[in-house]
Amino acid sequence: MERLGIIGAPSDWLIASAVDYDVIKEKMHIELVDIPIERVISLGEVEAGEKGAMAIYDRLIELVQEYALSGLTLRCFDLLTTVKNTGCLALSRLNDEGIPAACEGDIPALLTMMLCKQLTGYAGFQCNPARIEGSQMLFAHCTIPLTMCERYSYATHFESGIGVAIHGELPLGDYTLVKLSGDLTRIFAEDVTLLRNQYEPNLCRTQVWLDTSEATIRYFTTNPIANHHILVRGHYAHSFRNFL
Amino acid sequence: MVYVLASSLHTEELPTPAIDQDFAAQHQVVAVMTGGSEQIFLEKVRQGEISLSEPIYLLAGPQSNSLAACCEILSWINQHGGTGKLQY
Repeated sequence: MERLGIIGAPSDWLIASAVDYDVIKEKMHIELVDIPIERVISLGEVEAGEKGAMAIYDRLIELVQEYALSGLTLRCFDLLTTVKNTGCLALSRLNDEGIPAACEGDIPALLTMMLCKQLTGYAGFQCNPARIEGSQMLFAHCTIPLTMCERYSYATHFESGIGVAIHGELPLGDYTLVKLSGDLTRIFAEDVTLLRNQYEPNLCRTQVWLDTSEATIRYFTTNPIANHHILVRGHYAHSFRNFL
Repeated sequence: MVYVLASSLHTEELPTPAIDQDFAAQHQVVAVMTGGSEQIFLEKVRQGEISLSEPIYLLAGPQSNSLAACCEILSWINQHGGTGKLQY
């Protein structure tokens, strides 16, 4: 049985993203392990740039080893006012190393990222729906596995203006947008096309426009599975839909 | 009734939401200006200011993770048997 670390509780704003640990254990054979956020906050204030961001990575790797974790989700906003840096770089690197790592303590997002790894072999990009134009949607977030990027640069984290976030530019082409619900009763999966990258200041730093469909727009405006969705390279919607 | 929700996570300048006041006089309209507004919404439901027994009209904009927060709120409304309508 795989073990996933829940480092800090889910962020307060994830009001529709609860899970039942027993259901996850029974249906996915995954044990969710609560780890106090103090295990990361105890780092104290770190250096403001990459060196400090990597100190967070080092601490997370220690926890991965101590708790024998296959993946984790981090209540990362708690670090902004305590450690005075961001988890973006650490989570990116963990994903690149085959350890699915989600932001904001989001457990359904982490489970979806685990599924991405299992079904496609690829790391996923946890992202927010940010804009709608016709059948196109913009998705954005401040961390992304660098292995998904053609180019990248570092920036500050959007909401806080501190730390190290990632502006990644992804190859255009085929991707799948996917989300598993926390109660494991629903899965959304849609084959999409990445049309272009952009970089505007008042958004999370990695920003991609996807060509979706009327059905996808209707899903997001009527019955979405919460906020965060996962973008993974290739067209795998059929495989994801067969998971449930 | 109009509720304009914005989180302290965001310090950037926000636009003024475009709201049809005649419509808002007869409906529950929630302008979600930023990410992190979700728990403010929840608090208003718990305090009885916003009712799940009537449709809740969520207004999303292109700024500051407004749409992201609307998706989380809409999902919560659906999970709890309410009727949410998201307008972007």
